[in-house]
Amino acid sequence: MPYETVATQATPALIIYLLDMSVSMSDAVDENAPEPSETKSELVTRTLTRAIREMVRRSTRGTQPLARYRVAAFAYNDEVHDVFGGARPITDVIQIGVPAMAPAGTTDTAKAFEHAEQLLLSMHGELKNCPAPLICHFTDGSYTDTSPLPVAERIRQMTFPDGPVLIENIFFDSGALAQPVTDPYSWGGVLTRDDLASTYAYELYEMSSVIPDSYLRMFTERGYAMRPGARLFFPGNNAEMVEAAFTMSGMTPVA
Amino acid sequence: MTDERGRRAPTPRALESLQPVPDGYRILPDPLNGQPLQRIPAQPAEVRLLLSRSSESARAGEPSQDYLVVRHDPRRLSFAVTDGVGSSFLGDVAAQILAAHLTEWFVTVTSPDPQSLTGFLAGLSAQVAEQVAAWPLPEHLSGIMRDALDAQRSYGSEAMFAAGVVDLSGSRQATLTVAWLGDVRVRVLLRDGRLLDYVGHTNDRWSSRSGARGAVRTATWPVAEVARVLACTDGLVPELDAALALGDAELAARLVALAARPRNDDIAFVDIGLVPRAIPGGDEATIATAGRHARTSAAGSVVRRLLRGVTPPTLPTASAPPAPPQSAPPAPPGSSQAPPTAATAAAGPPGPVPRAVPAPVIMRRRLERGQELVWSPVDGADSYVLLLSREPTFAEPIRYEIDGLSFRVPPLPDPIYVRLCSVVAGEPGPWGPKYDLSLGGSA
Repeated sequence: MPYETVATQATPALIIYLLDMSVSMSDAVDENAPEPSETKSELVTRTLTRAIREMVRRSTRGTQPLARYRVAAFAYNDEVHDVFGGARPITDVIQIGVPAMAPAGTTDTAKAFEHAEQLLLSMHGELKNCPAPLICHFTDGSYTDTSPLPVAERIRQMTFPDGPVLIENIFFDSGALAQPVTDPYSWGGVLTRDDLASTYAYELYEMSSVIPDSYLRMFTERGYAMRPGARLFFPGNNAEMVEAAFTMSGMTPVA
Repeated sequence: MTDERGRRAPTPRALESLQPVPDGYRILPDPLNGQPLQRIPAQPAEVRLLLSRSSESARAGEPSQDYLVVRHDPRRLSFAVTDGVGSSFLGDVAAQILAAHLTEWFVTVTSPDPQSLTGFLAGLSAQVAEQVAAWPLPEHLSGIMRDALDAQRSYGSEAMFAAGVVDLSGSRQATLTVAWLGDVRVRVLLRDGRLLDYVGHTNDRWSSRSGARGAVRTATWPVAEVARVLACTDGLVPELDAALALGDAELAARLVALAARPRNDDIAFVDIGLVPRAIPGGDEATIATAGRHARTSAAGSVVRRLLRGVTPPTLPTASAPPAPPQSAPPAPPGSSQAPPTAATAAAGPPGPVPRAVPAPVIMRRRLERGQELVWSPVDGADSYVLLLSREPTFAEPIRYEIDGLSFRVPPLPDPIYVRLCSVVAGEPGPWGPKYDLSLGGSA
């Protein structure tokens, strides 16, 4: 069965975050709020911290965090910034923390995926007994020039004994879904293109892997209602949805 | 390792209410050092048990998340095997508390049934919930780590169990009762040869905050019908049949091998024989062979002390030496004519001997950025497997599974070698020739 390899210290799971930090990420999450509210970049920092806390929880024996995850993060606009300095054990990430990021510039999404691909290629030999790596991409808008689809497709074709590399997309956009989600806990997920309402949402859907059964089981245990066959794709402008999406990124089975 | 949490084996405050066993003993192994396979007399029965820490726990200097307790007096033998839930707060604490208190409860009730046991589990939660909620966290913890443990602590400590009691009176009404909650296994061997297996749902457990989550199950037989009962945590499942069939020496060797596997788990195992020689191979020589340090370890001395009928003092806190690091198996050469199957590693063993499926022929196209490989479709092919390697023997290739008829080569420095095969009805066909994609190489 694919995607059943458990993350252990000897076989840690690799999670790569690609975080859009173009200038639009400095906009408020709730643009209609009367008071200044959290910005999208702050939302990313907060929810990514929460996802890392979840990984720590899943990696803890007694009070000792174990290095069952390796985490890399690339913040991108027209350049790519390596947030943690490569793929770091979760035990290091705890010490580093998730820094606040300053949005600016345009959106070169393809370049971010190329960085992720190079990391996978450079680590290929040490990943062969591990859970299949997962790339979690957050964006709030379409790319500026080059489509990321070809490189994302090639990454998804890269196959490890546990299964092909997984790609998850979080698209923070109010116009992405045909039917907006009000309660992420009762949402069944994106099963077809018909659930979507924008061209870039289609493209991100094509880039997104189907949720593995093992992830679905864990996610269901957390109270979500995602259906089998749904993609690793979380569109919409609901902050709770972003939390759910980042939670999903750490659902690798653990020992 | 210092004990910052004020807990050691067994959890001192949690178990302080336990009374000494009159004319009997209580076995409370050390969860930090484990308990090698050991056979204990429990007249007229016999008990074999083991508590083993996973290599992850050992490396982290953490106790086993599994636990076991055996309590014996002249009238009754009770036992409990527990599995602390790793995602809860200090699952080992729940495992220890639950095992110790279950073995006490089973000797105080006349007819244990699901309802009374569920009531007992609720009462136990009421007794320990506050204690767990106030459990101290180490001072040095960082922000994220402290947040994670805080969230876990408010969630509570959880464990699954299998437990039971045997009436040793020898009367015709004497019974064996077993109970379980969660995925701790119970296996009962009847004297007529039937083998009965019981296991609950993985999501069911006892919570220090809310009692039983899920349905407690029980089963009862006349002792006269039962030859043997085993209870074990899921770490033993790969060798559960061996546990039934093997004597101590062979079983100990198998369990040592199991513990050496990369993804091994904690193991707690109690095996009770109710008729003579129900448990195979228990002579003194085999025990000595089974675990050399069974005679010398601190854990071994626990059992001897307990045979005098007292709860042991807290043991030394030295942790077991860490397990050696896991080494990856050597990659076999990838130059065979047969490609790896979908189920094997990229650098894994060759697949089945190919049938008469032609290998696809690759054409190379140079692009503005990089190069693209294209090939003609192979009749009946569902997909294609492309191996990409940085050296010509394909010893550690990168594997791509492709539905279409083209592949853009990722940007890598020379040299780059590729080869391709088709997959028909899930079966890989023969490999095509190797191609050198280096500048000036042949395609």
